[in-house]
Amino acid sequence: MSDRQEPLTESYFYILLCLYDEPRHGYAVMQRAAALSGGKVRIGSGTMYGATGNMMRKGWIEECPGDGGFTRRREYRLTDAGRAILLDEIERLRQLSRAAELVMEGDAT
Amino acid sequence: MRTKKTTLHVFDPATFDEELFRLNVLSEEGWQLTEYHSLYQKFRRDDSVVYRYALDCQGSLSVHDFRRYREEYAAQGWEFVSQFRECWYVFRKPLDLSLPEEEYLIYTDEPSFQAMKRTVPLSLSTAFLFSFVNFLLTPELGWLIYGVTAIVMLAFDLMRRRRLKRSRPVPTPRRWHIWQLAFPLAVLAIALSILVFHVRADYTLDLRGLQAGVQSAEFTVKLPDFYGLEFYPYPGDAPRPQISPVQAITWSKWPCVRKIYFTFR
Repeated sequence: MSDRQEPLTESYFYILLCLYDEPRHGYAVMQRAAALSGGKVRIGSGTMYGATGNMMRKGWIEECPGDGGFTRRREYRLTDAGRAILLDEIERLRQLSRAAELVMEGDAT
Repeated sequence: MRTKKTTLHVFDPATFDEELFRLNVLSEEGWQLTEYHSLYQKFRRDDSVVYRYALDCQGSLSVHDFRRYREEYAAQGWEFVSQFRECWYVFRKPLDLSLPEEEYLIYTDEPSFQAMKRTVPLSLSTAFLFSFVNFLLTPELGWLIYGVTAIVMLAFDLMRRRRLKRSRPVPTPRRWHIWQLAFPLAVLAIALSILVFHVRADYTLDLRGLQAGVQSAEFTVKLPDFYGLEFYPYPGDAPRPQISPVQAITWSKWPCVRKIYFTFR
């Protein structure tokens, strides 16, 4: 597990998650985040720009040229560090979910 | 019917959400923004479209970052309109009533919105702080006016920071704020100070014929201020008398008569 202390915000989590399987450009990330969350999570342009800039500075994602020749859009891809951060966060959320299930089922000791 | 107009309006970063409201209302009235400047804005008449505007503060962006910045916004349909004060950017998107209001927010979570607000530069008082320091060194009435103004500006700055902290990413109806008095107050302070420096009288005393020793002179002082005794030389080749310097501060009620003692050698 990587050495990270603070949980990710919802926007950061969805951006990393949407980049897990393949590089995507910003709008595609926003659309996939909305689809994965059932329309509940919407990442605005300002939030997206700030989050991607911050994550590039931290080394979690990097820019890469997209496909499409002259009309190619800027894409982002997950780095190894970003992948580790994402997997840590998923494990943390799983633990939280398990703890919640135990309490709800009345089996917490 | 005119098709262009320019409005004189001072942009206040502390209430940028209220400025959004103003731009949106103007757009609904048919006035579409073409240029945004700190002190004035230009609009053109176009009733065929209503826009929703977005104001963003990003600090100074490199060429690469600015390109990426505009791409991210353009991907969600935001059209870049104008940039001012080097760090503020204005975008707009045509209003579609079938879409929820959330579609017109550029910051959709609190942490990113707070991060943006931390980049907003806010300061009114720095221009007057040097005057306050000057007043502490030289307690004259003119500098006192500047000093009091500096304290008031500092208070205004704190209020504006508090207001910025409470601002929301949605357009907010405009209201009057006390710190809007800052500019007229600054003009009044400068005018008053210049007047005080101008009307402050110099008191003269003719030393010719005075005997050596401790002497005194009386002046009717009209304004409370910090007075210093200065010596102006005689014309011609007459030897200059020695006068021990005396300073008098009159902060009591005015006008008043003050007697100043000095030693004449």
